[in-house]
Amino acid sequence: MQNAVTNVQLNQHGQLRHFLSIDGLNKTLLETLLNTAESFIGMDEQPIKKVPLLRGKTIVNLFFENSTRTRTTFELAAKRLSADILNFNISTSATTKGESLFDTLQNLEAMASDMFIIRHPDSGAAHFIAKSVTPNIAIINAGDGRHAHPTQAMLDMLSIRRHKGDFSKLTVAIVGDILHSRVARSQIQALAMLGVPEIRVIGPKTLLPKNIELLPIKIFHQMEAGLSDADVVIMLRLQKERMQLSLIPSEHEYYQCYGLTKQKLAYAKPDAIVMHPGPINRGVEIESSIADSPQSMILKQVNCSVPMRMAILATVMSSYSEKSKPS
Amino acid sequence: MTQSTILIKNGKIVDSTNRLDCHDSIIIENGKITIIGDIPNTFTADQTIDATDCIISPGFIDLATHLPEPGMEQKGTILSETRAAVAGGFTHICCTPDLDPVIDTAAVVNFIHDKALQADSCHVYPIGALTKKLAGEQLSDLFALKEAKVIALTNLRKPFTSNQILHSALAYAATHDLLVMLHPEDSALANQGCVHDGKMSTFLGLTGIPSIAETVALARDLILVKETGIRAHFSQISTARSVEMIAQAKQQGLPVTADVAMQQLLFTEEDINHFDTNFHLSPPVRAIEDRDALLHGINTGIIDAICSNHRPHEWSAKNIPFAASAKGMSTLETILPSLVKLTLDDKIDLNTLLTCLTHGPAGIIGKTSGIKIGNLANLCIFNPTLSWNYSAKNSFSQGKNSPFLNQHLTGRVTHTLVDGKTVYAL
Repeated sequence: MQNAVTNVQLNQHGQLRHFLSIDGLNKTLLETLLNTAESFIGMDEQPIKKVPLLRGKTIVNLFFENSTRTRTTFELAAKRLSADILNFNISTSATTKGESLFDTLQNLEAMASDMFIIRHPDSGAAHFIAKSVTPNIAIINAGDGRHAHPTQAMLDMLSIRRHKGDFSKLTVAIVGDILHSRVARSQIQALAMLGVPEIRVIGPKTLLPKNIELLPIKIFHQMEAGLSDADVVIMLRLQKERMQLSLIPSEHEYYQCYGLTKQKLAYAKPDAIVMHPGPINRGVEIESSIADSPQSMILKQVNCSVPMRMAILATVMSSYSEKSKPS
Repeated sequence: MTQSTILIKNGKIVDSTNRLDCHDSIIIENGKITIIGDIPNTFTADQTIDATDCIISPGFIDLATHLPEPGMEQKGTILSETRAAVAGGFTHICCTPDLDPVIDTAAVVNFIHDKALQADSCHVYPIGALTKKLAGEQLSDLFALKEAKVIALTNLRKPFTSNQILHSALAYAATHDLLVMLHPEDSALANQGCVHDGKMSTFLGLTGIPSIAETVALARDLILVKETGIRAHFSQISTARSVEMIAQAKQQGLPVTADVAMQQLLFTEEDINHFDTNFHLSPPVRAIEDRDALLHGINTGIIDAICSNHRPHEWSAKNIPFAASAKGMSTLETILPSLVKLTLDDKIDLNTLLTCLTHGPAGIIGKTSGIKIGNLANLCIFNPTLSWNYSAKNSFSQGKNSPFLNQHLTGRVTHTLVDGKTVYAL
């Protein structure tokens, strides 16, 4: 795997100054993030659901693409850490009206922000901003094009660890549209980094990227073989536009081949857990009764999302206060 | 044309086609080379160029420069880019028709000729559009363009609406004995991608342009070349398979030639690592095996020329996320040092390199070049060991979109002479 972004994401002490992709991080860092997130779990049952870790900090949610759950969980995470948070939903059409991404961000930087949480439809947008636009502001990548969605991957890792414990004994199968999935890319990197010995991807050749064999994975085109004895099954979302490009013939046929039914899930281990980054398409990727079954982690994943994002925001921000201390 | 005499001494003349590889002096009178050899010490010239440690080569000829004027003057002008050309050792450049307006009428050709004359740097040969507005629907008035002295016709990578239109365009161009430059790319397979469909597209989640987008189109084009008998030049091939296909076509005696852009010889997809928009290119830089096959193509003569594919851009066109950024690299001023590096790494020898920048392209466009008594003095003098820093300050191109910016380079053009006139001196 590339170490493309090490020098952008980490400061000279190896601390996280941006959170852009899993690529370039290391096992210790990921484990520390997971441990920190564990310490935040259960906070929402306390009478006071806040800690003052980021008091006085201004965080800006900058979403150039629609999102409800990611944006609101980041907002909640920031509020639980006592930060001030601003939400900007910037449709790309607004930026094409004249003001460039560069100018939009420099304006926001001038408002004394400390951190940008960015979702953008272009792969590499978060790197571009961290590197060239506002290098003094912490950047959290909340999904860039098809490239990465590292906070989603981390909250999935948290769910897996809470339900399965030791990563080094697991077989994890990721099913569906790997080609267009930023979530899958980040998950594969995180699973590999945390020591999962067998990562499988299952999908038709049209939805797997070129040279995918260079990733630390095994490739399957049939669910039966791919799910065999799996501990964790991660279903990916299928988008309607995939049919228009003839990458698959129809939703119906996709469900027949790659939809997770009870019958297919039976190939996995009896205690296998089922995950999905959401939003789910019942009857396209997953049989409705599985989505609601005890094996499904779909809602529990959501429960992990605020603590995990709190851990990421707090860790990144702490590298900035460290930096100001004399060494 | 200048009426003075110029003496170039102490340099090494390298011109493989004219079998020159010697330390000799050159005298230029009235723009033409009149003496090559030992010059008596008593000879006095109006201008003397001391070429100690330098190589004297025929001037470089570029088959694909994107001049941004008319229409995109924020990226550069004919003045700025021809100055960059002569600073890079080029005496002749062919400019592509993707301008605003497109080069599909004699008026635009004349405009460019006039501007180039005023700029007074290098020769500029416009390449006309095969179809009106490059839309791939209706043929341009090709005979009128020929009369206006376009050097060739092309539709660049713009698709034809059907194979019938492409077939007709080639047959009609053959009627008028025109040269057609084909840039093979199947636009549907290219899928509006921005990088090679390979390792880095997978890692970085960028949309890939598969190699088959080029080879499928190349296969079709080669069949149509055979069918129509058109003189076809394939510009900027980028895949290993394309090199094989061109070799086969030449073996079969088809009237085809090919070039590769300098980017494809120097870089691979690995260079996109940091989402560096300088590497958002068309065609994309591909895998290491492709780069090696293209170098092999140069070394074995399958590929006839190296072009610059120079595309200057303004700062804001490149300072946006990768896929949204403009395609292309500003290359004219760094082509020599960057390719000299390949000779130092034994990837290509100096004679082959110079042939691909001089006689190779000259033959394709039907021009004579070379260091020969009686020829107009179109020369590039360069010091292959001179080390320098390429910077925004010392570059002439308006486009600073180069990965070589603020880098130390070895090898620098010291003088460029166009028709016996010194148009660039370091």
